[in-house]
Amino acid sequence: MIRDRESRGRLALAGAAVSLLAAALGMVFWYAPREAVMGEVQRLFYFHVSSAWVAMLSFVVAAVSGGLYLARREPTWDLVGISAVEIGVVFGLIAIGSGSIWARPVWNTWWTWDPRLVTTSVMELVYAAYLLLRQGLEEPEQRARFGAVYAIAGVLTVPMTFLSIRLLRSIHPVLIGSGESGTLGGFAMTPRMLETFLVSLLAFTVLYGALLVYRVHLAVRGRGLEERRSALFMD
Amino acid sequence: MTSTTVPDTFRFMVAGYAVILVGLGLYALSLVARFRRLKRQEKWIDELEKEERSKKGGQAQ
Repeated sequence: MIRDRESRGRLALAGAAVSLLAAALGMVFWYAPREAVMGEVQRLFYFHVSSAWVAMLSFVVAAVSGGLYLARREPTWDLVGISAVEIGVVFGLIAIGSGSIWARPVWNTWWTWDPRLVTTSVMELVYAAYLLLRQGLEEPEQRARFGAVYAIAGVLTVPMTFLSIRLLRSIHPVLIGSGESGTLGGFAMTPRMLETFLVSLLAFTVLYGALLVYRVHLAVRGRGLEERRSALFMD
Repeated sequence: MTSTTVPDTFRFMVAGYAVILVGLGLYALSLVARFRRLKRQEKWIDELEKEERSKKGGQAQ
């Protein structure tokens, strides 16, 4: 009964995420106006920023889960942590890939050693390393402890990435907060652009929630299976 | 009078959204594949446990 309710809840969340994503896509292509200087490529901004937001949110969730694991020693928090890191790495890659494609016509290059691009890559590599290093540890408790401490230390890369364009000289546009005059590709958001942006952010946040719930469910069931398997072969 | 033309960046937008949507789709598919594999393994363990129980029942008799 409870399992059915949980399963229905997960499905409802996934349905909400897909519907919101479809609405956001519709707004990106048919509601938001075309930007006059960059042309159609500016439309990438809505999902590019949303992806980066989800990546950062996910790494913060991993750090909070790490803290909760260390405080309570409940294995579920470790599973939330690894799930959050995995999803964060996926969204981080999407943000870097879409940003690079946006940069080609706007900056005239696929890549440049700009503070924002460098800090984002460092953040991504730190968490990719988390996934690789965890696999090397066999003992579950040691793996969980390592994951928790690593996620807490790694979260420093999130404010570093967020603040890089605000504190350092960068050509990356700053749309929220004050922008440097040297940025390339910045634009003033019209009300329709802002609405589209907010709906995209909401869609990605709900999608993140749905993916995290499914990923944690997968991890919990996987751990249950592992326990049953070891009990069976220990007999 | 000056006239400005909007640059044609349509293909970059298409490529960017392809990267985003394919990336999301692949991750969702990887979750589906992992759920399927887990279900198969759960079924296998169910059968092994059943076998083990019947073996123990036979020995008790």
